[in-house]
Amino acid sequence: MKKFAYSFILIFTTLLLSSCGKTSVTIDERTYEPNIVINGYLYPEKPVSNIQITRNFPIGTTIDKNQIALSEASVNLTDIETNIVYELTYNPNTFAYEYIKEDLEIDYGKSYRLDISANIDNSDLQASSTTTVPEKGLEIDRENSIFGDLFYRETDETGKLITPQVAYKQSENSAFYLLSISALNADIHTFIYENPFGLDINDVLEEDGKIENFQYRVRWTRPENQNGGFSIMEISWFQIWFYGPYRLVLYAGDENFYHFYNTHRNVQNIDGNLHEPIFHIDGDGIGVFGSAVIDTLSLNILKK
Amino acid sequence: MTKRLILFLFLTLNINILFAQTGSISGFVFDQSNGESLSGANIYFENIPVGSVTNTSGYFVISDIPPGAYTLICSYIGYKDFKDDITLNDDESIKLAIQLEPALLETETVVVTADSERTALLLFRKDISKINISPMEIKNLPAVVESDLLRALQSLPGILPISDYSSEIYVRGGTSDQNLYLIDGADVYNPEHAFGLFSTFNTDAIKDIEVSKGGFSAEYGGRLSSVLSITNLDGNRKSFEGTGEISLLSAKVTLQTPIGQFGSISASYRRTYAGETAKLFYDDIPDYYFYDGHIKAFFDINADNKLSLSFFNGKDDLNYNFNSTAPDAPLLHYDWGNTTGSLRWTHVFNPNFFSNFWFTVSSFASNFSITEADVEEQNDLFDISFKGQGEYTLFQNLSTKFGFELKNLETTYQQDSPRGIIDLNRQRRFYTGYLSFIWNPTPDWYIEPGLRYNYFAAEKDFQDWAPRLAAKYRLTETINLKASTGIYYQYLNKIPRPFIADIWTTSDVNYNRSQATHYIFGFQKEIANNISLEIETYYKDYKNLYSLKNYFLDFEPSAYDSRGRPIYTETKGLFDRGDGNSMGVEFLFRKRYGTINGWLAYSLARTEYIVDQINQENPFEPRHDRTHVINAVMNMDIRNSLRFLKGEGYKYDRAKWLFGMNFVYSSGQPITLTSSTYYSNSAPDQDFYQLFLYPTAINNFRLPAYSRLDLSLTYEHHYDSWILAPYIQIFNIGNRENVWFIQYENEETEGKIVQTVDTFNMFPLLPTIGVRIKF
Repeated sequence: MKKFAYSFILIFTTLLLSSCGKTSVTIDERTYEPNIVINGYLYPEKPVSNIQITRNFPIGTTIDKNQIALSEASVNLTDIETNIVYELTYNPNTFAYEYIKEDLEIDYGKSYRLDISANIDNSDLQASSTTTVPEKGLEIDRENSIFGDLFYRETDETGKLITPQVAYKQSENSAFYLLSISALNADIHTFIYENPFGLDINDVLEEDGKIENFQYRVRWTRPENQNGGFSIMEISWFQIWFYGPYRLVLYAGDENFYHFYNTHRNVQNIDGNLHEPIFHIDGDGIGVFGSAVIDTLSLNILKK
Repeated sequence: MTKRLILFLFLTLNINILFAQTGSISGFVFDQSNGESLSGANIYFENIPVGSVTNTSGYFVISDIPPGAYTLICSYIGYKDFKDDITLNDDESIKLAIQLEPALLETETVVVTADSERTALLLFRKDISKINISPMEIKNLPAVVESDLLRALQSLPGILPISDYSSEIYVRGGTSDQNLYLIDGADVYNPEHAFGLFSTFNTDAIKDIEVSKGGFSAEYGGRLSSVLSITNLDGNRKSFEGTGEISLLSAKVTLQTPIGQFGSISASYRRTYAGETAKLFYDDIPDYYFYDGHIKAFFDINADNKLSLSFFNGKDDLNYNFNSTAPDAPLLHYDWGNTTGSLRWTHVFNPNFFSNFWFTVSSFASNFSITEADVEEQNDLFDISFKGQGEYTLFQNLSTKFGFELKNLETTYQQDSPRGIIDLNRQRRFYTGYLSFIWNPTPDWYIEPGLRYNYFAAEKDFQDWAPRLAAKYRLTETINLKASTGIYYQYLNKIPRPFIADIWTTSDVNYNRSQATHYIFGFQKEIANNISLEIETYYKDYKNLYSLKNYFLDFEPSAYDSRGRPIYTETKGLFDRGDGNSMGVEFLFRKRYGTINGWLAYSLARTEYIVDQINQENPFEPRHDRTHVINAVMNMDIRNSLRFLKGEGYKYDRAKWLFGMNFVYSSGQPITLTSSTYYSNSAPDQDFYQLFLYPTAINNFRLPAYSRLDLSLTYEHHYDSWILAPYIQIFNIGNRENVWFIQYENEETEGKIVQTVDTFNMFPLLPTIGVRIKF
């Protein structure tokens, strides 16, 4: 009797102890591989600038934003058609690379390769990526767009919401269209507290949220209605969180831009596991080297 | 050689009896207390070594019996043996309706007497990889809030969850869409309540559960991994009976009553009020509840004809108002649910020819909308089937099973949002037929070859032959050996969506059908009466497994609507294709009955996938792979256990304390970690730079081991005609922080960013109290 009772207590205690406590996960240097991080875009008929070449870091590193640029890297841009190589130089004011001579003009429909060599953590790394600039054609159709001054959640005579929208003609050869919506005077004073969600920006900031998550919004779509006419991208009112002026930038982006934009921010599944983003970079590089045709518009949200 | 073979078959098929006068005994076996038919009851003669086992309808036949006087015995676990002296004349066919009397009054517990037949023989009759678990065993397992069938199955070897937050099961390395769920013969496609926390099966309404983890016979098909067939209660044919249960989060009731002399009806209903309870503690949470109801009528028309009509409906409903004070506040609505109906006609053409015919309808529907975002979604599935199944006894040691199924399947998925329209509407037809033979060359051998034919009609038709073979051998009085192999096809793919209803699509011109081959070998040993050890090892080979792509980037619209929005109607680009394999060995040491009962199980397994264009097409382990799993389940009648320890016999108590324990330990699940972080912005003109994660190779790391102990304590008091049983259940009593995944957070101060890593854990300690009533 006693023997059985003791055995039972021993087994039960063992099971109980083995199902207590906190487990921990250590992510150490084993998972780390140094990489060149590229963040740069080419725009037709515009100088090559703001090509950011930085590095990645192991998890848990304290990162000084002003020290991440690889200022000593070798960065070259090659016109694939002519095979002419243009050497980019580092600008310490913008922490980015640029081409300051006037013998290079980025052209519609042409392909360019970016080659980078850099040393990170005593490792010589190389990365390259090629972008094909979308064709000419992107143009915002102002006649059919709804922009300019609008009252917040303005309605027409029938009570239907008037939604800001950008009508545009497409560029051939583009992989997607991205509308970047930036509130230019975003702060807690211009925040729209009358929003239908009942959200208060002060509560968000108290919980370590970032005002930029409300200040910067985007919409994107695949190429549509390629047979002619114009396409429309609506800006839902839930993307508007501040009164005041907005800058609307419409991009007709290439495939590199499209895949980077839609994958680099979404590497974590809802079940918490991670998966690879899609980067079009060969060698030891991550990030994006893309190109886009752009057009801009403004919007101003007024308080009723 | 040919002569020898013919001679062997001649002798083993007992063809000599063709030339003799013989008789047969057939019939149904019922529970005397409520008239429910009993499947798996043993019928045999005391004097001669012949016998039979009742099928899922409770029917048996013993044919080719020489004329004479015999003592017929019918035994079944938990019931007193039935004995009857029978005299069988030439060509006589005797039909019986055997009523078995429960061995103990307190059938509410699993504390019942064991079968009078040897445990090894009972194990031998069980199909390979088939697990019997009774509704009562499920109810006795400590649960999260509700007793749940699928969660209970997760405590068996080879059946795993993906996390505490899901009741979905992964059987021997197969994914959750590879399981066939049948309720009274009707397919159930998304058996989930509460965002996957619970399954739709109400354990109070269940009469019988059959779980096959693989190697199943030609009778089943259409899925690669497993079959879970549930038969609901026909209803008490003797008297009115009811059970009820109420807890902090739900209430349920099951009622059964006879319909005159020729039938019965049972009905059950369950509804949660988790939302209302949660609102007592939290503000601003959605309105949520689910209900399910089941009604089944059984008509015993005559000895050769039975009819049952079953209907099930369940629904989850979620509503959330983002700002209750604003008139134009966005509203979120989501509802989903299953409806199934089945009509079953059981007909005995003659004692040797038993049949079942089903007409079934199964429907799943979900609706989702958010007003402000102008998003609406509809996800429907409609299945209408007619199927038949026959069993024909050719000789005493040779019988055949055959059947067919005609299925019409319609899947619809529509999503309407400002970004476009997705319209996936598929109509498919699925025809199958099967034939298998059950041959017992000697009483120690069981051989079942079978063949199944599938015809799946889509834009591209699929025709497949699926051979199956199973064999069982009684090596000694206490040891059985079993083996099984077969090819399995699946023509459905699921688009998994955590927490919301999955979307089903089908094989078509873009996606070939999936295929698996099973090889299973089993060893069974009777350790003592009612105590068994089962060891099974398996290997499964998969072809054309489909998993949802991580990104939807390369869809091409089929058309555009008048607003210029793209309309997507094709599934091309939706899935990644891959192959894979699973292998493992499982040990199950089990004592099914007695004052202390339960099981100890261990499984060692490995699953690998090779997916096109993923991981450079190198093998990797999927998230549901677990190398080692240990399960320990124990139920105890405390008072009688103490008596047993003192050397005293079992005694019936009007008041008893029942203790339940469930322990699980498993290796950590594979996970993809972050290799590094980088600083970047998303849109070139936006001055919003953030840290982003760059992952390692897929599932290259393992989370810490998972471990959990659940306990339950029930005080069960028997009054004259009713039972009251308050209980407390504690899930994860050690409050162990089992990791589900890793969370990465950033903190920015004075131009410097510090990244922190934290874990997102599974369920903490969760207590539940409630009370069960039976009257």
